[in-house]
Amino acid sequence: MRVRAWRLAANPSLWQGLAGIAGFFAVWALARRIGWLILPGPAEVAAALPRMVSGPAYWLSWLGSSQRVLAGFAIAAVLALALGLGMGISRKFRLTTFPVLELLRPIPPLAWLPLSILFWPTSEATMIFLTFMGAFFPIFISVLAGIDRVDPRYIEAALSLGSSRRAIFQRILLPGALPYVFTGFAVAIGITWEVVIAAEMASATNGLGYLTWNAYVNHSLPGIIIGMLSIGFAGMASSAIVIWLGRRAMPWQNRM
Amino acid sequence: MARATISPQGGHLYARDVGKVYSPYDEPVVALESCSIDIPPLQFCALVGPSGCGKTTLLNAIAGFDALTSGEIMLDGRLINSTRGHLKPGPDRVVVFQNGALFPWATVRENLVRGPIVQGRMTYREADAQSRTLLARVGLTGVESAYPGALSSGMRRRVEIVRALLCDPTVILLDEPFRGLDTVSKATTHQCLLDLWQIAPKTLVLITHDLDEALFLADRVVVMTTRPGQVKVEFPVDLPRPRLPSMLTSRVFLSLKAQLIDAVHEEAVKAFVAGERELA
Repeated sequence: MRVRAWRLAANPSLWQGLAGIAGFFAVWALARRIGWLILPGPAEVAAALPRMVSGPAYWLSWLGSSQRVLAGFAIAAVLALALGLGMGISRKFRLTTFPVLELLRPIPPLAWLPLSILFWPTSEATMIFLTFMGAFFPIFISVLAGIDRVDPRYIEAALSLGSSRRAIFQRILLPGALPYVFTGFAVAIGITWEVVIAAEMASATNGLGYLTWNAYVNHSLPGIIIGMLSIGFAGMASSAIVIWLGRRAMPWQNRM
Repeated sequence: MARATISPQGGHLYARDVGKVYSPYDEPVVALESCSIDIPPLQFCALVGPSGCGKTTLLNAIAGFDALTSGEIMLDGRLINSTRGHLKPGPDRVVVFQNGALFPWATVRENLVRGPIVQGRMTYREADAQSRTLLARVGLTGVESAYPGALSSGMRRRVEIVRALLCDPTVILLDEPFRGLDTVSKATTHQCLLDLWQIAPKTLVLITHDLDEALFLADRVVVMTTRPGQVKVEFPVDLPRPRLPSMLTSRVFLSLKAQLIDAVHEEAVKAFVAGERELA
């Protein structure tokens, strides 16, 4: 573990990344200094930071938003995988069901807000439904693309070796589609965060989106910025987790 | 080194009056027409001809990936493809693909052992041991745990040939397997193929554009006409085995090559002209 930490510290990419973020803060501070920006600068935000992050309310917001993201994303992943694989296998299923999904796909997740509020009993269910709608379609399209794009020669090779159709599905189509599936995950996680924040601003009593909106209502500009940066970090962490999971699931893609 | 037991049936491939017509859009494309080939057991037969002459179509038909629209193909007297036949590709006619078809998400070991295990001929341990032996024979010890992406293309082709051999097939079908390899890798891989074939002789059908390769490796070279594909002419290769690189400049080889070039060139010109006519 310690060796890993040392290796991480010695990695130039880490320092370049940090330098980039530091540069961002520097430009922001400078813009504030020269009066070009009327929003609070990093100094004011840093001053307001201790008060906001002390106390459980801030961290509970992280928990609240993350729970919704995780729930919506997980349900979407399971359903999208099931439907996508089903359509990959059964042409009939695909021809009957795909047009329906294509009709629903262009509807932005937030357009489902009014219906969700009316339909779902709790606001929590509403928000999880919206995050689900955000994550579902990117994953679904990627699963379908993955299955379609598996090189038919691999299927022929498997047939040549004597594989059954079922084995081909399990050992050729699934691994072959994985890279596309994880791309879908990466896209979906970003959209899920966007949706959850907007949904919280509209109808929640906790969470990072609510925190940001609440700061606005209470005329706390630094609070807004802290809220936004928190959302940024949360999204970045989620993407990193998805990428890490992808690397674990697809060891053959690791190059030196 | 003891020779492996020869498969009892031997691998007699007979394609009789084979025809294949594609109709992807409205224009029917006649890929093969009245094509007949008789390959005796354990012969190494090379198929050459201009691009688009139907070589790969014929190979796919023998392998069982594509149904014929006329004629039939028999292996050791058993019908393996006809107009009404139930297609069943399988390890008795294993294919080695152009540009390689090793599964990239599986290690070399997993790629190799899957065939024999699925066919129920070996346990995992037996298959693993056998694959390691064969890999050593082609100069690839120690790659079992690597993914195909980490190997060079020459190494990948050798692994794929080993994968085909592990299935103990009756016939091995090779679709331009050495395409894209540099000269040195190609020479090494040729030698591997010949060595492995010596140890475990099978009927081999090789499609290639490389005339040197065809003459160097095969017992017999069949030249196909341009579309619609038929057998134009055949050349038995009268060179002794084991084949040596020095034979590449022998008089016999060069005279055969000259005749081969003439035959193929004639068809290539026809293909070119026909292609121009199609576009015009």
